[in-house]
Amino acid sequence: MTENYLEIHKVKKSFTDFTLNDITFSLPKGYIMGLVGSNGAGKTTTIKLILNMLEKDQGKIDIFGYDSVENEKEIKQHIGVVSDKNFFVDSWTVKEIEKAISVFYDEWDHKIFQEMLQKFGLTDHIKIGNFSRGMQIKLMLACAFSHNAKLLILDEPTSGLDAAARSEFLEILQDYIKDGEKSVLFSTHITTDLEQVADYITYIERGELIFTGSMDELLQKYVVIKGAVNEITDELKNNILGIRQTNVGFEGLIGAEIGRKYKNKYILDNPTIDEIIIHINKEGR
Amino acid sequence: MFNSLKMARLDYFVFKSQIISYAALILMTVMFSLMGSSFVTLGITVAWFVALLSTNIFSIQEKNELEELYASLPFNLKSIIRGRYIFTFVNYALAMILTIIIGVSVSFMQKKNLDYADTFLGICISLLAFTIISGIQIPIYFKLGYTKAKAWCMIPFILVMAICILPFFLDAFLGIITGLMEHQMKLEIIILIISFIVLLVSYNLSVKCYQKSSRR
Repeated sequence: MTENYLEIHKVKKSFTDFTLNDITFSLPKGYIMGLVGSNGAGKTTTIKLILNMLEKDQGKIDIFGYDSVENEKEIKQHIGVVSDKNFFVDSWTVKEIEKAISVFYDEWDHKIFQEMLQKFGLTDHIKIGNFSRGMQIKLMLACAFSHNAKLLILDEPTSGLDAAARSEFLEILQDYIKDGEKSVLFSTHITTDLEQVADYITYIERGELIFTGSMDELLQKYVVIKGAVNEITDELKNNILGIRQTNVGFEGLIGAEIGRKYKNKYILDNPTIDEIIIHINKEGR
Repeated sequence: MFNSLKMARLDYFVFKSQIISYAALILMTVMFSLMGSSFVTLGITVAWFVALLSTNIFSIQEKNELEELYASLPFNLKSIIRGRYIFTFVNYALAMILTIIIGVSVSFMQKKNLDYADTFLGICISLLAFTIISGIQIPIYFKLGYTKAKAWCMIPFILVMAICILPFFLDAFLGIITGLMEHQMKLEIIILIISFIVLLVSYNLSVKCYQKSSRR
């Protein structure tokens, strides 16, 4: 198996009113990558392309070094998916889920599944429709862990979870990758979760790739610049992304290198991922 | 091929809660048999009923948004479609076997001689009716999803109904049927071939439709 578990190269997908254009990023083995962007940016479309739910117009997707379309059956033996909504039949019990899906996996381990159910506090005779959101997420994780998934694809798994449940989920993820043999692609709006666990970030906005690289690179690429309303100059306005002006001051995002020029005149802060997304999104409108 | 069988098995788990509806088919079959209906009538009833009921799987699939489940499992789009066809036709085959058992049992109880020719003709016509209805419906369901497709999917039922009642209104058509009935074995072989062709065309259409479907 290659060093990169997931490689997306110049992938394009066009719809009537939206185009995902030239998306290129790689997820190395043993790391967590956050996939971020505002609503409608193209995150879910990217995940659907990876899972072959959509046919790409151009580009290549390799998973574990193999083409994602030609080797779909073999690849998906080692992929686990957790979605923002339960994708099992509501009337199924946990026992029925195992009966229904375990036959598809060569490496399904019933013992591990039972251990996961116990660890997550899931009972096997209750219908899935009666599970809470957190329990549904844990069940999808239990299924992923039970067939030795090496790549976890998470599409907004923590939306709708309270802070305690999210914290628990993130702990499970960190535990999952600690052997260095597994990777996670984590698409989410809740960027504070990524700040806790993600090693890499891919940022997509309006179908375009804005950034892909390590979390540190992203956070060091920009600074938040603030000052009084009467201090803003035309030169600064040209360099700022997504400027926000109020009666008392302004705030915006600026490249870190350019920002250094202004460090004696304005307030410079390290940005959060949220602030980067907000200002870049505002700039693009 | 194994993945298609596993997919058909998965469809069974998805469809399980609807199986109780087949009790209505059993009741109808018993009733029609007791009334002395021909096997052609019984066969078309089974075709109609199973074609109507078995497509509920698309409704359950849509309601539970199972596309993501299918996308997560290690099989491809063709396995999903082949599995669906296998599931649908196994449903039909089991219903047909049950109908034959009921029909033969009632004949036996009423001390009537079983008309083997009529029985085999009934099976062939039933298969043709079922193949036409399902063969038209399934690609439409794969393309549009259950909610958008269900109105369109009444068309094959109307088509088959029209073909069934045409002989009563068009003497020429009745003449053709009578002529064909004189070569019953040839007719049955032609029916089986047509059913197979309809099935093949339907499968290929389903693959194209599901690939292009915006629901995935």
